[in-house]
Amino acid sequence: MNPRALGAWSFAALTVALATSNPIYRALVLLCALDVLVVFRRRGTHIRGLLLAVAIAGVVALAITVLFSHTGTHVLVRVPDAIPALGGPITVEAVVFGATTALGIAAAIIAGAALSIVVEPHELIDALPGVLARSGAALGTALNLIPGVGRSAVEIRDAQRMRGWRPARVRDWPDIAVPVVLTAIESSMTLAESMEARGYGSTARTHFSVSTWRPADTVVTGCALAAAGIFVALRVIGVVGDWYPFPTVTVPPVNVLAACCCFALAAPLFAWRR
Amino acid sequence: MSARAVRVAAAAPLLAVLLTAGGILVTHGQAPGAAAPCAAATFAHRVALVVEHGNGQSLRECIGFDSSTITGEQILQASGIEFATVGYGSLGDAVCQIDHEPASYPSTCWTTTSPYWVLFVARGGGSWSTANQGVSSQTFGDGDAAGFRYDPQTGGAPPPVSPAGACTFSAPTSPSPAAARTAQASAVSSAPAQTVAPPTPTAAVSAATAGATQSPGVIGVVPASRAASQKPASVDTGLLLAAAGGGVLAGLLVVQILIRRRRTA
Repeated sequence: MNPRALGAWSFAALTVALATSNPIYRALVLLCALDVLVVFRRRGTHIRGLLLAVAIAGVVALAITVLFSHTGTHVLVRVPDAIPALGGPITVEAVVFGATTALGIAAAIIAGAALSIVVEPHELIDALPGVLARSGAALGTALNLIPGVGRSAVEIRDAQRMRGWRPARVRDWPDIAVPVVLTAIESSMTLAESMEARGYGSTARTHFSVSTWRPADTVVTGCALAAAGIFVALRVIGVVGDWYPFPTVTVPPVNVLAACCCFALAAPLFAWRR
Repeated sequence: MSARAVRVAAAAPLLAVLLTAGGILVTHGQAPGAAAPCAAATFAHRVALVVEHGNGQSLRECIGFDSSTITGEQILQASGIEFATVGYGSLGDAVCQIDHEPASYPSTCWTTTSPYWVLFVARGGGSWSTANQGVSSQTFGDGDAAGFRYDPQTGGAPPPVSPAGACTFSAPTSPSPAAARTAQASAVSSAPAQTVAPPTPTAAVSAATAGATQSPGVIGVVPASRAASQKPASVDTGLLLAAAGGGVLAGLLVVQILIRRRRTA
């Protein structure tokens, strides 16, 4: 698969998931994204941590929505009015709306996470258009340095302790901070020199591996962008609208064409070979 | 292992379809509640209530009450018309839904661009003016009129139709002569309002001696075209399609996870 086609698919899934608050469309996008993630994930990648993060984000969104939207007909419990902002009834409808919000967040995260789990990070940087390639490389390098700084901080702390360093006050911390900053500067100079030695900054762009554009990529990109375009158009003309469970929960309306747009996001499952 | 996976994949869409169909029937089965006018009760005071929908259809009622004033929310409660509010703390309640319009609303009641219900006040047969207080704090006295109009937020906020005919006292004049004429013409041409005679002093006395604990109630309803009733129960094609497709996708997910687990095991 081509990283650019995957980027187009990810963008389309994100657009559809965020275009409406209707939980049925969001659930369909989430299912498509999960399928793509499970079928095409690289060997050695783990999605358990991602699913845990999605679950935590969903629970937080659910809790916030339930505690702060005091409307709806069916009251579960009543928080005393003395508590500011939280006081008021907690309703079944608010729980449903919280679940809808969590569904949207989950769909958006999974659609975005496909970019880093299905293709290699360097493939993504290569896929950026020429204008953004250097910014992308700089950003990627900077993000790569953060764990490096963490590692060097731990090493320096251990070394100082072996020399009998026992921090008692905040004023003792420069003993670690100064060497960490100096090491970071030194390692970034080394990195810059090695990148320059490999031709970074010259006019000709080099690629370690060349990703080819196959007919299947055209199919995926076409389906995804058409789905997002038609869905947004349906939203603009009012066929697809927002859905709210207040004052009572109703079955969300589903438009056949809009549902087909969501299904079109499953195109990678049929077009790409795994 | 794979035979079980295939069975799960086949069962998932079927289960989803059954669940969804059950949900549709349960939701559409309920009948909208109808208000029964309490013609027997007599009241010391009366206010007219006008509810004008976004499509121009309007409801007019005459509400009787015994206390000196009545709030807009109490009028709605007495009218028997379906309505829903959201509390805004010390600011009082906001009206989000009247007579099932809109069908649903966000937890904040409205957004910056969505239509909303505007409250109008007419004092003693005067013309409409927008209320300067919320529905739970705006008070009405004898001979006043309360008007709710669903404003689409696309232009100005013209007042609702005249409440003429809802109660026996004189009606406030509408600013637009043409609108007033049509409104009054329709009120005249339709069947006369089922208003009871103004309460006689003896009736008022008897009500007062009875303890005056009766809650406000409907005196008369101008027969008007009510908002369109709910759609009959039917199986939604879009919903069925979504359930079937979602079931297939979920089944595929389960199969893929099972295959991966077997490979690693």
